[in-house]
Amino acid sequence: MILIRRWIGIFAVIVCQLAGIALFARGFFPKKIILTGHGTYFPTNDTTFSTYNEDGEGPMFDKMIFMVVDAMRSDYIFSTESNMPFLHSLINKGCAVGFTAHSTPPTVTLPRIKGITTGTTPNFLDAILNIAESDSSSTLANQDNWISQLKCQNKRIHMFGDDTWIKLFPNHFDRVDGTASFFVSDFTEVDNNVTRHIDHELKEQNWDLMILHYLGLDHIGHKGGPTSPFMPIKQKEMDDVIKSLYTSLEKSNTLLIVAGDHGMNGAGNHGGSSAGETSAGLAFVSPKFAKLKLHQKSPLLPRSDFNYYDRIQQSDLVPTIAAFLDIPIPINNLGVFIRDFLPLWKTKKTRTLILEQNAREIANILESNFAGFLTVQIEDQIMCEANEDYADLDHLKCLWWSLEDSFDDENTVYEFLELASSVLSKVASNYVESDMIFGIVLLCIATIIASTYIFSFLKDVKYLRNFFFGFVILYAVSMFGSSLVEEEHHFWYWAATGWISMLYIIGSRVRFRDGINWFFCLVLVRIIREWNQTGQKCSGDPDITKYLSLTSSSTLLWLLIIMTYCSLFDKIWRNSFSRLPGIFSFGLSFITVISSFFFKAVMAYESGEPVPKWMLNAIEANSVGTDANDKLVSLARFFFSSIGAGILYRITTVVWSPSQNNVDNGRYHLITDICYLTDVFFVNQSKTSNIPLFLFLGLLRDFLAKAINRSFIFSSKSIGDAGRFYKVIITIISITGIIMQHVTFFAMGNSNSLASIDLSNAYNGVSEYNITLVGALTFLSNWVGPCYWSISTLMTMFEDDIRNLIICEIFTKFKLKNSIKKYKETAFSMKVFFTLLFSSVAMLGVMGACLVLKHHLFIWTVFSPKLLYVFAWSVIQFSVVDVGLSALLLITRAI
Amino acid sequence: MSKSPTVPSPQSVLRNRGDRPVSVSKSMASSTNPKTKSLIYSLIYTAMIINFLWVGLFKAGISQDPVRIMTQALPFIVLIQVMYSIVGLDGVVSKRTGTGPKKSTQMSSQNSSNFFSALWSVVIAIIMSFLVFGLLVLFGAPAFTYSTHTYLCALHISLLSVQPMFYVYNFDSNIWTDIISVRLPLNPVYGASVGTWLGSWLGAIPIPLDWDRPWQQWPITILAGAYIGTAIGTVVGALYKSSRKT
Repeated sequence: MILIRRWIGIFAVIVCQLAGIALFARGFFPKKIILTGHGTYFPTNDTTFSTYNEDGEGPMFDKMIFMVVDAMRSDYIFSTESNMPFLHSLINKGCAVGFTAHSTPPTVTLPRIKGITTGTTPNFLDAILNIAESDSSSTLANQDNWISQLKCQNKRIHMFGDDTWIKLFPNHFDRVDGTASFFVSDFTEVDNNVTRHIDHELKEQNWDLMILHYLGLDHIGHKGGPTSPFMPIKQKEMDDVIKSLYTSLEKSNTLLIVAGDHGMNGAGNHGGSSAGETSAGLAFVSPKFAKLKLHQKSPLLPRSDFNYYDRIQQSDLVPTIAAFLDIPIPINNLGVFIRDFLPLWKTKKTRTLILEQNAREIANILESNFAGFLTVQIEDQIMCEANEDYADLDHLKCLWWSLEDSFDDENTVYEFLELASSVLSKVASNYVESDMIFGIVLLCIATIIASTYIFSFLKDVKYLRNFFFGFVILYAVSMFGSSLVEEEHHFWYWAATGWISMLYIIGSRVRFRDGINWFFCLVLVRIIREWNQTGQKCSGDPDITKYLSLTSSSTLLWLLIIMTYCSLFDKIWRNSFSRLPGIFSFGLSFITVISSFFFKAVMAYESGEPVPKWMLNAIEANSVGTDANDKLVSLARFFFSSIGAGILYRITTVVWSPSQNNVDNGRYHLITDICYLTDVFFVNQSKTSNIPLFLFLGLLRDFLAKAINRSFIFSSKSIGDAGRFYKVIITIISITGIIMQHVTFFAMGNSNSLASIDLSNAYNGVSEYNITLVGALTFLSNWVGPCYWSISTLMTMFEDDIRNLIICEIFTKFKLKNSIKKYKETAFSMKVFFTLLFSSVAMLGVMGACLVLKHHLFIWTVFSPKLLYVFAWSVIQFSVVDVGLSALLLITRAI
Repeated sequence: MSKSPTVPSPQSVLRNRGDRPVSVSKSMASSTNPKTKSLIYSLIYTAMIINFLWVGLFKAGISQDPVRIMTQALPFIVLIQVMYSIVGLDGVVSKRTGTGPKKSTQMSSQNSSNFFSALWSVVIAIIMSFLVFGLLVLFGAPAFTYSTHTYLCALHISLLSVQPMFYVYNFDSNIWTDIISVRLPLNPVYGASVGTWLGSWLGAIPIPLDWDRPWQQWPITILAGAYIGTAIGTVVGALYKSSRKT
């Protein structure tokens, strides 16, 4: 009865959490004011205006090639480190003009393409939709952009490359060859698929706009980081593409724009707001630019802020392209025409017209955001003439007032444009506060339900209860500090040392010598946290991963990996498959482990990670004659199926066991056996340099179990009070589990930035893009640590032989034999309550921070990503993995 | 140190003992006075430690050059600790083990032998600082960089917490077992020691904040936490001890 009541409570908490998340997200994620319709030329002061056509010469450029190189950071094309000599020579000749284009976070492809084509600042939800590709709401059907403008003028548009464009612009392209953007392990094929069209297209010239989107550079970054050995080769390849395009520019009046959609950070990932991620390279290429005489020099010395030449906004591309191709500016554009190009137009009249169009278009957006902006009233005139210090918006109004009669003064127009652009990009999106508050209320209810259960459970172990509540409240409070969110790993490392020290003190009070096990745990945690530097401040500092990734230490790395696999083999041979006849158990264990090992080795080799020489023979023998990708897919599938079969077999031994009363009815060590099998799976889903971490995690798991036994059982004074003593054990293991989940999550290199999501193991065994499968694998390769501790905690809690024996003795002694089962069921449900209480309070903290700090400067760069992370933690990790695992084991009555 | 004149000096306290009303029985006087004495010494010591943290470390410019200032401060903190040991800790802490005879020998011991045992405890503290260094790394101090910074911080922590403990308890393994498992009843010395460690652990909190203040650099917050913790621990220990009935 108690059990059923508890699980109803668990169900209620989860329902409240999910409803709260849905409501809060609906109220929080912004819906910007978007003007619908199609931009046209605004009526100007000069009534004869219809186009920028000067002296009947037609537009500045007849055709355009828009070449996007994914993740091309500014230094890849401008610095001395870059390997693009042809482009450098063009810049030196003046035939190419370089910029560093600021790419507004979230720095992922889909929102960036939206930004480059519409000139708007991105909607934060676009970042998620970038991953959930199939979503159809992300088309640009309702948002004006220069592709649609060109289409309206019956221009022919050809598009080759990333199929994101095809999703964004359905039915816009006359010729298309899309490539899927998600096979990050493919460096060459994606780009060859684009380049193979170029010769043909340049010969035929039957297009007005050609879009090329190269993905290879981004994939290299994700796999091997910004200094991967493949990077210079890829840059040269891009340079050669530019060279072949340039030769045709001279013949026809064509503009070539080479642009990165975003940059990448020190680890080769992107999505966040660091200098590297937001600094994309941008170059305008045409022989016409030589007469601008800008005298840019190239290449430049590398800079840590990635600022080369002028820094402009990516949206500035939009009005510039519009002027070059003589089309109206898209209606929602916030960009400003790039001033350097203004002298290209010979007459002052045309230059004024270009700026006037830009200014009128932005003034129109101002009017829609701040009604009444365009109508200047008497009191406004008085205010402007008083010439006092006024707020930005008033200043804009005054500027507009002075502009309306004449747009001749370039400086005033630019002052207006730049101020308006920055004001509009910061316009607070319209939050629905009632939804947000209601979401928080639901989370409060979830918290209250969970805490009543914990309160009544721990009513006689007050010190642990106070500790736990203090701890979760401290965590929730820390979510209000932007740097504490960015550096959240420090909180967990700090809490882990404090928690282990506390247990040490409690343990050593009972018997002093037993404290030593906690000391070992502390040492292991220290080693684990040194593995990856994470966070924002010190992510570039030296750590074990960086050392192991050096070419010189590849032998050490692979020896450690082999050691890890040997220990895994030992464990699954002796445990998971031990029920099979000798030769089968050995063979199955060996095949499982070796297939995973070869998979990791071939993958490391294919992605250009340093692999020791003595392993090359084995790898090449393995991948001879076949395509490496096919080989990898089949290896991974083989491995996954052998793990799956192992787990399935192990569970069936319980279900089909003949007798319930038999001592060994298959239930014995069930979780342990499954746990060792999943260990191999988690290793397979980890980055190469993180694999040896599992040696230390395994040791930590053993030492924690031993320390808990030693300190709280063997010499426990409260052993007579069996109920209380069991409560202490459950509480301590549950809290340790939560702390270790987070410590390992961060120690594996994750952080609260979207940029640290690692996609390199998201395609293991997947040959065709499948959102569910890739999504699940993405989660499992980023939440490896938390999942590892989920199952390890269960194993420690229920299948510790020595403890179970002692508990059995005690219970028999006090004639409580029948209640052993009851206590185990209590343990299952209470462990879940600890997790749920933590996740409710954590979400409450983050949501509260997002509500209170909704006008904070970092709301979209720090707090919103954290909100997404906390949703993933709560929904997938805690509700699905943790609760699901407990419920599953309870249902199979594995206890 | 400039604050010490404002607080009644130990001598004046001792003199006050004679002026007490005769109605107080002799046994009462002998049991309350060491407590008052101990409380006053603890307060003086606390004032000195806080003063030293402010004047000797922060005013001296620890934010500009942590290594130089921490090194310069060493002789002074040693002086403070030795003075406090000789004057403030003599016979104040009653020991658990070795009741009768040991106490009497300590009572009869001369100031000079107290001085040498204080020096000896300083030597022990310096040796133990390497262990403290190891513990700091274990609790998250940078392992490969800033070694000098961390070691100097460890030396300060060792002088603050290990030195007085050794002066009072020597090598009594039973007591040290109790000390490590935080089971010893609170007294000013033990309170200071626990406070040092708790303070330096809590001192890590401001480091990740993005205020970008010079004092956020390693290991200033840890050191300040240790000093403040020592001060608070001493006061709490003294108050606890004087409030106890027996």
